[in-house]
Amino acid sequence: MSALDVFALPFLNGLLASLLLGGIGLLLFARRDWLAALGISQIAAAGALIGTASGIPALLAAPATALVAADLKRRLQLGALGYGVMILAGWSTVMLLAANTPLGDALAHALVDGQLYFTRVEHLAALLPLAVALPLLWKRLSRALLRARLFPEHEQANGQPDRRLQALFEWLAALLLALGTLTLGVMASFALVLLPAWTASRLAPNLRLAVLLCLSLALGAYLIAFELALRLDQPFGPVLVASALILCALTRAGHTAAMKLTHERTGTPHDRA
Amino acid sequence: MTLLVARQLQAGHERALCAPLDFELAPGETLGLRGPNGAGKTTLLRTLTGQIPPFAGSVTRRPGLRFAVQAQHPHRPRDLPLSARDYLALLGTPAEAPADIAALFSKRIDRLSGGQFQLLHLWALLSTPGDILALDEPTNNLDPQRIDRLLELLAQRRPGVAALVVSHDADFLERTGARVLTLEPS
Repeated sequence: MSALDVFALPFLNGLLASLLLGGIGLLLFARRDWLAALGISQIAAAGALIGTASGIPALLAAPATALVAADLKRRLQLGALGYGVMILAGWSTVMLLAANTPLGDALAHALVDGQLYFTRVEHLAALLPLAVALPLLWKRLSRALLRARLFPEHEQANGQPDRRLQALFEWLAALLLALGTLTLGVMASFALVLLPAWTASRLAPNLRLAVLLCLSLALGAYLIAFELALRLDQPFGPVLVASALILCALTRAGHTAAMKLTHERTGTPHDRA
Repeated sequence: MTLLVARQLQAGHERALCAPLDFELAPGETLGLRGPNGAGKTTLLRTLTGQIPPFAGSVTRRPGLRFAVQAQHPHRPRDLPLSARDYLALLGTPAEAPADIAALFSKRIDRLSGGQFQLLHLWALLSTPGDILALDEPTNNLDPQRIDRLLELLAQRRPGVAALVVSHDADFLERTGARVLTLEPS
């Protein structure tokens, strides 16, 4: 069996997860809910470990736990505080289960470091419906979420804040983060949600280009990490986080340099160019 | 048909902020709301648009009434990659706009001046399908030239669209041709 055969499926799983996390990250960031990524990922990791310890496949347990957590957070209207509690509860559960159950330690490490090379066709089967659903729902979701943030009084006066769409978004995000955690690891998922969205939101001149830049950064970070982790025999998750950090920092630096150059040529203040 | 009827209406959260009010709003009419600080102008506007319940009295709205609501401080987050065109599209504003608004289309909303953003926001609401424009201090951030422009836009709104305008600027209210209701603290 060639290396291509061995790594083709994990590569595809990671590619899909990275693009989906980058995309949902832009909406989470627009909603100021980016901390959700870390909270839900930690809870999903804890759910995966609890499931494994109880004989339930991680691929069922992690999304189920993430969905319950996201629903509870929404019903209790805890905001960022809810994600803080999730991060702490998830971390504590993961660490305690890792210390006290057979295989727990190995799985906990895999969830934190990323277990991309061990993902199977089941992961692909779980990611594919989301890869279809997210682009189809993108326009409706982004419109509803942005209107709720920019025109809350207008929405409220017209009785229009679409709670069903908001709930759908939160469930989609929870599912994606759970699958991202199982595929890429907790911190890599968080990095793919936060860093491309932050960079694109800061630099892009409009929403369409922000989506393109965000997806390109997520894709670029993933491709670099996949290559480097294999070549240098390094754990995938930390390499992905590092590549996302460096790629986003370079993009911002390049943008600043281009703006300064424009300023020098045209005399336009570079923050307005 | 009257769009909105207020009877013995008092706005407030934990206590009534203004004395009881009785008034009606007809299609196409402009009603100005003014009064001293703390008289509850913004709270009254939120009550009339159904965002909060009356403290006392009642508001009856024509069934199916649609509002175009401008908050006193329109939301303009600095972390959203939205051009002015994106911003208008979110409210379903038609792509055609006057030249001074269209000139802003390619700029990010967080890079517009306060006056440019205020005018863009007001244009978005004026172009949104609605029966009542609810404007809270619409002259905030506007220089005299842009206030004139706002008055033009208000005058050019679709026939039948009423306006509720909260403003501390008596001259502006007079120039809108509004029937002015002065709020007395309770």
